[in-house]
Amino acid sequence: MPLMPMRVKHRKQQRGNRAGTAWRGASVSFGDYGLQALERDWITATQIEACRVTLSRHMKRRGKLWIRIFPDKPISGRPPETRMGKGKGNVEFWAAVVRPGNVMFEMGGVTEQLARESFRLAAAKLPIKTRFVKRK
Amino acid sequence: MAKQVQLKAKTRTETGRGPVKRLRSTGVVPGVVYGRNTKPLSVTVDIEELGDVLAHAIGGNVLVDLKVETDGKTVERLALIQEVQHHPVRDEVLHVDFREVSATEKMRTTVAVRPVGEPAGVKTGGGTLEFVVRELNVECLPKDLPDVIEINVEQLEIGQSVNVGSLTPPAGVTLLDPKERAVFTVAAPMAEEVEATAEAGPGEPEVIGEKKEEGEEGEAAADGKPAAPGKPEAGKAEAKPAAGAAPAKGAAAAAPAKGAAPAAGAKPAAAAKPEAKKK
Repeated sequence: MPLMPMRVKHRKQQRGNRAGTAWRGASVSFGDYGLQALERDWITATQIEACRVTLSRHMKRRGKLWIRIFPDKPISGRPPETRMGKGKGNVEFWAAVVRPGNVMFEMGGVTEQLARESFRLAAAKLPIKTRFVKRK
Repeated sequence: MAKQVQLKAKTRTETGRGPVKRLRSTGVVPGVVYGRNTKPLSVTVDIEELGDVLAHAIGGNVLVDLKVETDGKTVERLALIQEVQHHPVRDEVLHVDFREVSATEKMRTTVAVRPVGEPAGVKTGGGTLEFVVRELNVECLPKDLPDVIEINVEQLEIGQSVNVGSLTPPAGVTLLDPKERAVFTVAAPMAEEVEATAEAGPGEPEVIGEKKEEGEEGEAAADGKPAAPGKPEAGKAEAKPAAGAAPAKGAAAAAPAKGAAPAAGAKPAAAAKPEAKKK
């Protein structure tokens, strides 16, 4: 089951604003290393799950992993070959709004080399440019 | 002990977003000096000098002999770098806070902790050393302020932890945290990875405050009967059975063919807008 909220106030949302830079959640807070977004996008629950699987496989039960983004935004879509109108489409997937600066994943209790390689593999599953960051 | 370094600063009169932005473009970093007995003073420091100081800081604590230049006069102030703000993406220093301290008065601050050695639980049991806290609250004179507090964790087995009470603080330093507070713990290795179950489509979260009309709406959708006009869309509870159910006779008739003009039978379906909505 992909990540999604258990309860929501409204079933569907408007697109919202994703402008600006992430001023919150922009530093490594839990682990020692992190994967920071350098672009803005909606990161879907599937992409987050793909990253999680990649990271935890590469860590081989060592260390600890933190996922700092959560897909709480329902994204609706229109089925193919449907005419305009007839109301808002159905919820197709859930996404997290990621802005430049957001630290999306964190890792602790592993060597820097392992963290770098794990995040390199995970970054390939994401639609945005990322960089490896260390705790300051 | 925390290194004491010298840093030059100048008072500034420019405040606010725009003027400070212009200042930054000239190679200086805006900052503020404040303390218990002094009024806050806006200053600027050279970005390269500050970068040098921060790069050589071992822990988070840096004591600076701040030489503040005001109208040609220089005043020395002993200060602690309290906070450094960085740009989240460019990583450049945006602002720095100096907290003025007295050399003869005890001050309270936080000091980072650093584990020494590899815990037995990590070496043999495959566990993970976890930081419960990264900093400890301390009280000391500025001259006694340690860079970091080093804690030996070599004896820790899986499930064991080091508490504040078992630590021996450096000379002149008092730990302020409760004695029972854990600092490091060795956790068991992560459980076997549970593979995600079959990629199901997006499930439906519960909508707060929505009435459940599952039974009634579900039946209506399954029968293909148009719902009463003006009835609010049943939403999740209704959409689910409608989506999952095989298209009922009535529903198929109500759906207009691609490119075809709407059939006469489509009219009642239009009235029953929520029900006739094509998935």
